[in-house]
Amino acid sequence: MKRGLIRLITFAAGLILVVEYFWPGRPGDWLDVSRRNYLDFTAVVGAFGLGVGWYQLVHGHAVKLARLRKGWFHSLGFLLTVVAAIGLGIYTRGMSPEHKPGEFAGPWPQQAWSYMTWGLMNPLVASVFSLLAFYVASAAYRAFRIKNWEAALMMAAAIIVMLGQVPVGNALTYHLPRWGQLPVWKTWIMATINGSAQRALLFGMAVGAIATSLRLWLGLERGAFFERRL
Amino acid sequence: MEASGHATVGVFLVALFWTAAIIVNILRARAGRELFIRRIPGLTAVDEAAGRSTEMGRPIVYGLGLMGIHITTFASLAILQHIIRVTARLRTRMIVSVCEAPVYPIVEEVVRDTYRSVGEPEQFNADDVRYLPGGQFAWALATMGIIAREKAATCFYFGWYEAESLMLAETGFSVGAIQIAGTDQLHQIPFFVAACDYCVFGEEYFAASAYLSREPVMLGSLVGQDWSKILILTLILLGLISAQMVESGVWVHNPVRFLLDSWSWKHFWQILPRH
Amino acid sequence: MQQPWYVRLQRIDRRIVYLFLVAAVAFPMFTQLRFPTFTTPETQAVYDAVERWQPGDGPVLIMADWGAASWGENGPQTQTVVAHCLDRGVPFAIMSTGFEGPIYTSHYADQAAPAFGREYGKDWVNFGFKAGPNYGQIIAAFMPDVVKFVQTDAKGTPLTDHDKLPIMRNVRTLADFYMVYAIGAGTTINDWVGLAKPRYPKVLLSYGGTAVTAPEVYPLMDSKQVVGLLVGMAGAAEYETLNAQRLKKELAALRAQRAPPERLQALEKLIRTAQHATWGMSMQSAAHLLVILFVIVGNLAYLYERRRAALDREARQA
Repeated sequence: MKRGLIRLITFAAGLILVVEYFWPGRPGDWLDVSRRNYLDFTAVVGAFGLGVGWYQLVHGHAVKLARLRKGWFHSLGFLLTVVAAIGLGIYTRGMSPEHKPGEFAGPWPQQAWSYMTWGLMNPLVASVFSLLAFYVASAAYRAFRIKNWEAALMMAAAIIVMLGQVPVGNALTYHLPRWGQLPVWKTWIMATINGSAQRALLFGMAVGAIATSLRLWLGLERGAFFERRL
Repeated sequence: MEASGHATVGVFLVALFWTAAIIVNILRARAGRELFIRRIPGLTAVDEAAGRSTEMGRPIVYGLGLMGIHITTFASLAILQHIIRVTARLRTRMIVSVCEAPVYPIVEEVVRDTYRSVGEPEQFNADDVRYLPGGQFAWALATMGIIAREKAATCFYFGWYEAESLMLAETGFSVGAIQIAGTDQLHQIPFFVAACDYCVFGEEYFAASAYLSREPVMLGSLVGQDWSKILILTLILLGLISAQMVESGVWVHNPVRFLLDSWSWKHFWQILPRH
Repeated sequence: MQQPWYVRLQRIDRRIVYLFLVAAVAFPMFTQLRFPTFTTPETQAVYDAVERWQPGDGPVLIMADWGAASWGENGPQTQTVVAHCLDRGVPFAIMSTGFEGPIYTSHYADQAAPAFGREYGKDWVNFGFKAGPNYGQIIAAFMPDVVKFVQTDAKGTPLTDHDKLPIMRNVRTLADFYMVYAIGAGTTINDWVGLAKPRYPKVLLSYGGTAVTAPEVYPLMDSKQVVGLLVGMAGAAEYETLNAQRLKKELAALRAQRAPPERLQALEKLIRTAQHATWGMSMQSAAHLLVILFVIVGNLAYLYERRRAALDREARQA
């Protein structure tokens, strides 16, 4: 009975969006308004999920700290950072209508927020993203081996695109006629070959996503979570 | 007047066929019809990879990706359930890392229920379903830390991944883990292919739940998907031929274009006589 | 027993690879090496779209969905297009779903505005950022009623105050915009194509993305849903080159007209400093060459190992 009720609610909720998309209506009519209200509602429900996740996190770390389990100082650092970040963010809201990147002036809460954001978080995030350059180099060196003719073809395409993407490729071939220039080859590979492959993959994925969505909407999804006793 | 933004008549007809194809094949599967699916190496290796963890006595790390409540996450949950069913029997520890708060309670319920469904409720450890907030890189670094500290024997990355995909995969490689990845993010496929042992991408990712469970309803919808793809390919081919014929002046109108573009039934009946 | 050289060459410690990469990227910094850029059709298309703007076409919406992580690529993409818009007098609105993008973009606008005599409120407006669980949801709410969704700019000025924000005088929905320029590290353009294009087909869409996400957008360009694309830092460098060519001509013209010295100085400074991507491309060139070299070295060693194994097999059989 409960499972049937959940399936009915799921079906009804999905039906609003499906009918709104297929019914030949006009912008601003009752279907359009229902869709917008519905989307606002899902945003609110999502916010409740935020509360549940944060409760688990804070509770877990607080218990670890209270019982001084192994690694308790990490939990202390985490909780202090959470309090500082959220507290300063709320306290400084509206203090200055504009922030400039790297500006550390203003009252002390705003300075603290600026140091935390522009001085700590942004450089850390940028550094982590920069690590990718190293990982790409080591992964490419380790993994790209010409084991068969397909790999050789891929390697040739990769080298053309890598050289064509940067000014060095242009410098090497700019004196050649247009059909011999690396950047022209690179654009052709990206637009024609890559574009076709991307399109094929996108079609397949869209079909798969629609089928999965249809199963969820019609209550046909299987698995322990969907078949459990309620 | 701006466009209504609704489905066109053509989209409606395609969607109708699509839905019918999926439902018909689900009914065929339920009626006992044997449906064939080709082998997908990345998914076939899931059981082997999970077994490796048990042999080595090291845990499995399962990364759910960045997205919250989304079709990609639900597809990942289906795979997670299968892996838990395999590893619960082998009593292997599984650590699941979650990035988004709204999806965390769902993941916790899924893991708990799956352990319960295989008769191993005591194996569920709430501390091993970890919500690691802070955004993309904070989640990625935390997961990398878990993989490195716990010396995971197997890493599964199924979900929505962005730039952190290669970082996770390289960390898994550095600890000697066997890695299987699956995502619907096309631009991360090259990184997973280069760094992981097996990769499941594109449509295979959404087919994973059907492939692993072999459940008739799921298999039926998979075959229905293939029928839909055949329809789309046929339409593309017809469109290509008719566009070429229109270009060369053999035909004076393009029926496929007309069908797909007519944006409402009223418009459809109005312009039909002109075609 | 030590492994043969061809096996060791395939298994170089990755820390050595990283050291080489650091050296390769640092080298152009000290040598000031520069190479001419080649303007690709996709970058030219974005440039031409801005050039084709006419008064009455509406503002450009710059969706700056990026942050410090992808500043290297998205930063110059934003900076160069902002400079172009300010130069041509194309009004633009800045918006994002993250807090960093509008701050950086607004900073670029403040830096470049003196060079062209532009002012906030008349030539550009900063909507700030709008948080939400889903990017598509934010766009879907934004498109039909911009004023109701955004309400005030980042400084708190109501969008209905047309004395302070004359740029918003004729802006109600997305249809009143000329183009959406979506910049980000993820494929946010897919949401714009899916949600905005069917409802507002006349609004142009362009994308400035990281080089990793750009390949996915080529099919959208082919189907004319997206007008142009800046591919990573290379795209930004190409745009900077196009900008620099035009700005140098303008500087010469302004000097001939004896324009105010502050304006000349601001324009000279802009030409000199807005070259981040061009500067970065020489380092990226070195990095690409190094990776290609390592891949070739690894493959040569691999092919030699295979050949050696085949010869050994033949010798044993003989």
